[in-house]
Amino acid sequence: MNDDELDRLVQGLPRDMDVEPEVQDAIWSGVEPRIAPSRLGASATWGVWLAAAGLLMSLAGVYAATPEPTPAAASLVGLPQMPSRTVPQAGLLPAEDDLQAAVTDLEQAYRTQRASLDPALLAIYDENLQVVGDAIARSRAALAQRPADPHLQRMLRSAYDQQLALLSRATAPQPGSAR
Amino acid sequence: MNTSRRAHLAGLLGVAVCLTASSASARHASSSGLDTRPNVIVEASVGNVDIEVHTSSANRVEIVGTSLPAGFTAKVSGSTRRVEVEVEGIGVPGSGKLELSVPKDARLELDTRNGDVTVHDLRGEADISVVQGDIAVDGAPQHVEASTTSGDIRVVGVRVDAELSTVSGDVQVSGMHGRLEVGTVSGDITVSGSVLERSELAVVSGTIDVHADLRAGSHDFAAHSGDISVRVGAKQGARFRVETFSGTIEDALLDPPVATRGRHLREIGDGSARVDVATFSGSVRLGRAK
Repeated sequence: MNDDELDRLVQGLPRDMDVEPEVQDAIWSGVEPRIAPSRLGASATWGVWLAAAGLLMSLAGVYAATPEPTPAAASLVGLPQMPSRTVPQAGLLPAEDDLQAAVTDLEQAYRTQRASLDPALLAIYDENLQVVGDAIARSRAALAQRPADPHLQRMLRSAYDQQLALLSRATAPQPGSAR
Repeated sequence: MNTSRRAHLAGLLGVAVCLTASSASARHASSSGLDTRPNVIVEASVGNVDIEVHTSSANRVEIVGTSLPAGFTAKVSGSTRRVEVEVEGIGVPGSGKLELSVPKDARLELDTRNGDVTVHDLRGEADISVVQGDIAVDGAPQHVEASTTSGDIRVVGVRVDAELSTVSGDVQVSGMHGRLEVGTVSGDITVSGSVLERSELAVVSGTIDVHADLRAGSHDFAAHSGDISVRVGAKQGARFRVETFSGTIEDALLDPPVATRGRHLREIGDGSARVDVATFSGSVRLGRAK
């Protein structure tokens, strides 16, 4: 998303969400670092994972039609169960719908790849996806009460970044494969 | 082929099979090396093998030791500019160790799936990727980029910049001077005895503990449920902006310390470093290094 698109989205916000200019600046100061390229360089590690997320979003479409085992079925065939799927909710952040769509695509890819992952690694991913999912849920609950709070918006955005980075890592080709 | 010759060959084959079977669990060593430029790129992608890298003043990349399962060998190939270290055999080795000697100014590109990577006394650069294993780099490397899912990362003496990420492992950085970016979900980040020109440290449930000289520039430390501690020297100049939703804030830069909640702004010295500390429910403490 470029600046113009973001401006149009902001202009389209309901007036009861309008805030003072200084608060807008504060919001932007929290949001900008998260959506801009890393200030430490284009090759920043987390930036790479987020870039990978973009690629995987498109690849995930290939998997979209793959039936997903129900928790009961997964249990029957001995597959560990991943944390509950992200349920899209009303946007509390600019472009939150896009973030949730990206997460959903990557979750689908992750579900498809679970059977091929080492069980110990799978447990680590599941546990940490749960940690990040909880962080998002808590941030959203707080933000629903204080929708114009720039700090809470920053916290939620940061949690989404972590979730995307983690899912991208979990679905990326593993290091150590033969060249 | 006549009958006696066929019987002789069958016997030899039988002996060979027996020897192979008897050495199936044995370890063996192989080594090879190449003369290179000082800043040679060294690549290694070795499956489930530990990698230990030593540096020397010699312009040479060499395998100085291996401990690989039977049927696997290691070799070095390439040019004076770029060298590839390969483990050859059928499939991927399930374990083992590879010891390399490289020039001090080498640029390392190493990855292993399940294994530890240790680099000693590097002056060049390192880009290391591991799934399950620890990463350790020391010396005075210019640039370190390291990523592991479940292992710990320990980096000492970086001179320019470091980009480090784990999922559940801890990250320890010491004696560095430059720009630092670290991300982890449930691991803890510890930065000690360092001069940071810019930094961005992010955790979710882990903790952040920074003991550093924060130079003019931006320094962002963010945790969700984890705690954050920032300790600075007596001559530090900084503008702190601390914000938490439900955590506590302790400002021990003041004497006596002040405890507060919500948002806290604080300027010390010339205010040259912009330090932004944010948590959701984690506590924050600002203090002086002892």
